[in-house]
Amino acid sequence: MALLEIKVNGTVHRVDVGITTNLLEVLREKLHVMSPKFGCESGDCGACSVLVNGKLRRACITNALSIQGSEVTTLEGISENGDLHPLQKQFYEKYGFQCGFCTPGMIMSAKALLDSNPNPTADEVKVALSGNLCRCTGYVPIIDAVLSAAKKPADEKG
Amino acid sequence: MPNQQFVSPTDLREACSILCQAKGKIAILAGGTDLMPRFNTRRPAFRPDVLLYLGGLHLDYIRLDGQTLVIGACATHEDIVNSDHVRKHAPLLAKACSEIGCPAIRNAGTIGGNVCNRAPYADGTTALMALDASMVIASENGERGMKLEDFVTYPLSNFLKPGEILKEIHIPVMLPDHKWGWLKQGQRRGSSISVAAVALRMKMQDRACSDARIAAGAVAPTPFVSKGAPAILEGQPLSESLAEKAGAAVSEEADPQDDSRASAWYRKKLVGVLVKRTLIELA
Repeated sequence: MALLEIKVNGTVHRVDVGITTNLLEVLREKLHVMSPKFGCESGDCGACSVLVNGKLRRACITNALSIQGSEVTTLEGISENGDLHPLQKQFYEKYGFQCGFCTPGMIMSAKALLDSNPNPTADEVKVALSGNLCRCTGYVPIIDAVLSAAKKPADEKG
Repeated sequence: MPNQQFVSPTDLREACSILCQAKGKIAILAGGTDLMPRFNTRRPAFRPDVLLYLGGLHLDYIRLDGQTLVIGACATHEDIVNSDHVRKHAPLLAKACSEIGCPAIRNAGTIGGNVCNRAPYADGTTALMALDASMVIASENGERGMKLEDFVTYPLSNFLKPGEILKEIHIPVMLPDHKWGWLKQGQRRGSSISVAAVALRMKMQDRACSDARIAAGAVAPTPFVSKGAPAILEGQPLSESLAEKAGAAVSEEADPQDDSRASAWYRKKLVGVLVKRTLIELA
């Protein structure tokens, strides 16, 4: 065991972790941050996608101690003052989910894209989401949602 | 497990001596994209006593040193894709790395891990072989150099010895008359592991081929450099029939296995077709 200090959605946490413990176990089981999901546990499905120092990572294959001192952002950390983030709002408007299991990962992958490319093409959205599997919607409404969110500035409500 | 240790040295020599002195099972961690899934399974493949993390060594540099492109072993695929030096002097590598996994994997996975894990389908390694890359390997006693082709290809005796760590990769810059090609076939376009991949670099003057290097991935126990195809191409004008002959030579050299992604039979056929297509695209 070793002491890990990380900032999650703005709050600093100190937890004891094993040397092979992954970030997803820390988030869900120690810090009770539940939006990232345990899916494949091999980096293939994208359900655990989070931002580490602003970069998209798979929490399930990120060694917790390897990101000592880093800043982690999950879905819980992207809304402000209780208002949905434009991406969340558009996933809702465009029916971008059914069961919702993949949605937190989808939205974090989309956020990573929009942070670096605010006006992506549909093809760029597809590449950005290529590591996120959805077994319900067939992806079309998800891509619609990301493209619609890209058109809306973050401060627009509606 | 009371004595498990996570060590993150900041000095390469120190990292090598930790490797030499560690008691019990030691594993080396960089991006974790290959290693961490092995710990996550319900019955993990192994439990290390010491995890040596390389992220503190600052081996993520990419720089131009005269006619050599120098890439630190811990540069991620994304670092490589976004590097102006790589895009200008080794565009083949940038292209191959841009097709590895998905954005989150490219943000974590490193080129050193891609080489040292010696997966048959390591796309970065396949591209580096076509570029005639070499490696600098560090140990407590200093450094040694080696051609990447010799390192990756069996026998194992060429591989890292106890206490050695891959420090950086050297790539001769592409010359103005060099042409290159990269073709990868996976089960789908995004986020897939190669069923077969082909990397090619050669010179062309008045349609005549010379100095070809063709590497193939996912069709043998490790990526390999074709011996036969360059001899077929040398000095000849590029045509569809010549491309087909070169493809057949690589297909003959391939030694693939059946797995969940494709049969050996299919891989052997496919790699020949990919070589032919890569060549025709250059014509």
